[in-house]
Amino acid sequence: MEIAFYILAGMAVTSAILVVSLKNLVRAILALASLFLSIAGLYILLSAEFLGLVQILVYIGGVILLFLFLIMLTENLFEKNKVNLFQRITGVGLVLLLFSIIISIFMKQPFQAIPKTDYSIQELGKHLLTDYLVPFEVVSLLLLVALIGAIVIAKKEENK
Amino acid sequence: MTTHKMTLNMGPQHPSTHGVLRLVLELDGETITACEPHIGYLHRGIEKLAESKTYHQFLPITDRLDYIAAPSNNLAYCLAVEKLAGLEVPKRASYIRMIIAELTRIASHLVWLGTHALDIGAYTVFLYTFRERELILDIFESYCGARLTTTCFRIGGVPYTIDDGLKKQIADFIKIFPKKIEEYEGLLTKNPIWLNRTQNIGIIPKDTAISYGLTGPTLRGSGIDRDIRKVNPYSCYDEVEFVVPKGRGIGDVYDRYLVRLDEMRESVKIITQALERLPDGEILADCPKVIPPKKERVKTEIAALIHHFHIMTEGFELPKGEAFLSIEAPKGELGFYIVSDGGNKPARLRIRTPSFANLSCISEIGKGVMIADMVAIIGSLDIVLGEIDR
Amino acid sequence: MELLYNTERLVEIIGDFLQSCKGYGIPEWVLTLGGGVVVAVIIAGFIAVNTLILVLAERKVSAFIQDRLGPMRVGPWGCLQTVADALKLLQKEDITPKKADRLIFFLSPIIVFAPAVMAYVAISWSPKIRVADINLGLLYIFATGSLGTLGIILAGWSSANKWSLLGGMRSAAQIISYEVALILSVIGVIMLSGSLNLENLISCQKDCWYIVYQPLGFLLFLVSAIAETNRAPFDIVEAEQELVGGFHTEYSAMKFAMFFLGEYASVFIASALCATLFLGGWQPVPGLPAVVPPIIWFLAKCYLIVFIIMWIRWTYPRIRVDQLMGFSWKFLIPLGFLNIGLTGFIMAIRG
Repeated sequence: MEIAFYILAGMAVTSAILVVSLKNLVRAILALASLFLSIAGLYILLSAEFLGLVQILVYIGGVILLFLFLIMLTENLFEKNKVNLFQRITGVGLVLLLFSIIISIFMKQPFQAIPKTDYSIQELGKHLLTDYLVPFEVVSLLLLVALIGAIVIAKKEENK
Repeated sequence: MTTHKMTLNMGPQHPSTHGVLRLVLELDGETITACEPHIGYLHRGIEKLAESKTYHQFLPITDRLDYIAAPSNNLAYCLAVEKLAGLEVPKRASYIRMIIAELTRIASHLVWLGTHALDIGAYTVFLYTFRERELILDIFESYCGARLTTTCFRIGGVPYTIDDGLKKQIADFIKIFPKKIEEYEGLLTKNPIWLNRTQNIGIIPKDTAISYGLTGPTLRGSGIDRDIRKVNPYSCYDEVEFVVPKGRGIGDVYDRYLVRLDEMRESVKIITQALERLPDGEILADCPKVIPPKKERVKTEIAALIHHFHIMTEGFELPKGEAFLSIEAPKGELGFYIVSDGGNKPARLRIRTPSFANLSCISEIGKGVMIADMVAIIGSLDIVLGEIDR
Repeated sequence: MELLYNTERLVEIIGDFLQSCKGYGIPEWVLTLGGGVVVAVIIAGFIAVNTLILVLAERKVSAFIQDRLGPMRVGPWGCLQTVADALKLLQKEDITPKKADRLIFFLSPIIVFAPAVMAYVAISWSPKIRVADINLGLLYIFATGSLGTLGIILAGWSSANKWSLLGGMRSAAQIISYEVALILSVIGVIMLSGSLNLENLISCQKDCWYIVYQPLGFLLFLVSAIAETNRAPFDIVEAEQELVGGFHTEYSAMKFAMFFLGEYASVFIASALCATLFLGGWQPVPGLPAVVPPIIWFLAKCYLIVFIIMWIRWTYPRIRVDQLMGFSWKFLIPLGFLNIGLTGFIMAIRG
């Protein structure tokens, strides 16, 4: 199974690099889809099957589709918006900062293998509605707010 | 966020533009914000062609106007020439013309219904209607030998009579046809998807319909009761009883659908009455100047032979003057305007075709609808590019 | 019949062979990969043959509905017509439009076809024939189903054709609306069985099929599945009379055939899923003795659903794109929630 991990990890890293480096937006989105797919594969390898499948269903089946929907309607954004030097430096600086934070967290965390458990969605459901009820509800509320916000913005556009 | 409008070329090669109609659409998403018809892809110069052909020679060319209702074109042209020549057509010929013209109306409406339903996605209706149209084409074939480009009338009458065999063939068709209309209606009239796709789509208000000069079922779908067969009866339409259907009076695609379906039922009534009352007698007018002598006489009498040869080569001359005559073709008012300078060819011939006027309103009613609605609207106008471009 | 019994034997033999290989020191990943390749070839072969059968069935069913004969010339009763059509497609010139995005134009048919193959892995054909016993099989099939749409949208975009682009946009809007309705419609079944495993779902229906407990769920599933597979009256994505073929307008030859294979493969998957979830899978009708092998029961149920889908296609007009969205959000999804609520209510009352 190690080989599967290396294949998927390689795929994930390659597609992640492609996502940021490709000039053609639709191709970049395709690379993003491949990234999501390989990460879903990694989840399944870690026997988090539910998470992996939901990753495919929601991220590729929903998010990527919406991205594509929008990009198809717009023209190539890169040609119009040239990035200047200041933006480049800030961008690189911020990325380095984020990277060092993540690395420092990883260094502190003692990694160990989690005992392989058989995931069941019943368990998952129970946990969501008992132990994690508050975060679950907060997240749903957040989504609702986002939904209403999107509708309000779309409506405003119409009134003009 | 700003959005751009997309210009889309619909046609001339598009399955739902019923020929070579080209619409330039301006789209906001899928909603049409502007629609401009471009025509002329099937222009053959028919009106100009008439000026170099004798009156008889032009008759077959009229088949190519509305090519799915050729006998109607023949009828309108013959009536216009007869009006200019002052010919009186025998009663029997008039009745035969009426029967064939009404069969043509049914055939044309069947093609319309099939393609209209096909445009909206109901495939099966298309094959059902073409099954019945086939029977009508068989009747045409029995009558004159041709199925599509019939040239089935002559100036001054009709070339063939309806004998008992053909009478039975027509009667058989008339007997089964009302049930077939029920069949189409069963698939469409109360189908919720069909209602959603046709009701309140492409509404043509009364005043718009009048100002654009719409005619035929398209006009009557808007609730205006005008039918040349009633207003200005030709042939023997004043001797038969029929109703002019008007629809619900909203003027949407569904109304035009209802009107045409009812018209097919009325046509059946007319044909039934005409078959019953079909009088005996001659089928060609008694006018040697215009009508060539019968074949038997040509073969036995030298004078008749010379006369026949003369008409076939030189045609006949019409007195100086002009005439306009219009009939109720399946698609609307079809009129021929003929100017004669006394020669054997028309000095000028102009055809008023229903599809041309009916299409003209599309930029107005096509605004703010979706592409799918546009397809339904084009279908409901029942246009034929052959008579738009001429 | 004999053949189908032999199929079951064949599956066992392949399984045994793979098991016995372990003894000879072949690394496990080679076996897994080899098994995967064999399975993929078998499934692709099945899809190809099944598509030929389904296309012929479609043409014969439509002919039957439309009062005509359908293909009659190639082979007895026209049964080789689709084979001839497939051969013709293989020989045709493969055209790529000049302004198309060549890479994506090439990839999209594969993106449509591959997930359809993937979905077949989870189907339980009979007690013995199944490729993988996936614990979350139902979710897996839905996940693969959502992948295929990506290919349709990309095909529409990469063709550099406005009609195709419109088709792709319609596809995106349609899938987002109907995926929700589709998943909501099966939640009732999941609540009853308490499992997402297709094997469990089938064994739970031993005494009574779920169509009896979940008639509303069945109808909702059928409608959403027809929409998911882009079949009429929900075929707005290709809408021949509106979009001149939609996303596949510019495709020809084998690439076009791939879309065709993908479409029929997903129609069959939808029917198989329907048979599994609501009609007891490979089990005979409760009360009847199991005379014929389970795979025949399963295929019979699948083809029954396929027939219903075809019947609907050749009867109804096409729904308009905005009405399609409205139908899902205002009708199917509320009914889906109602079905879930009712199921929960009844389950709570009966304990």
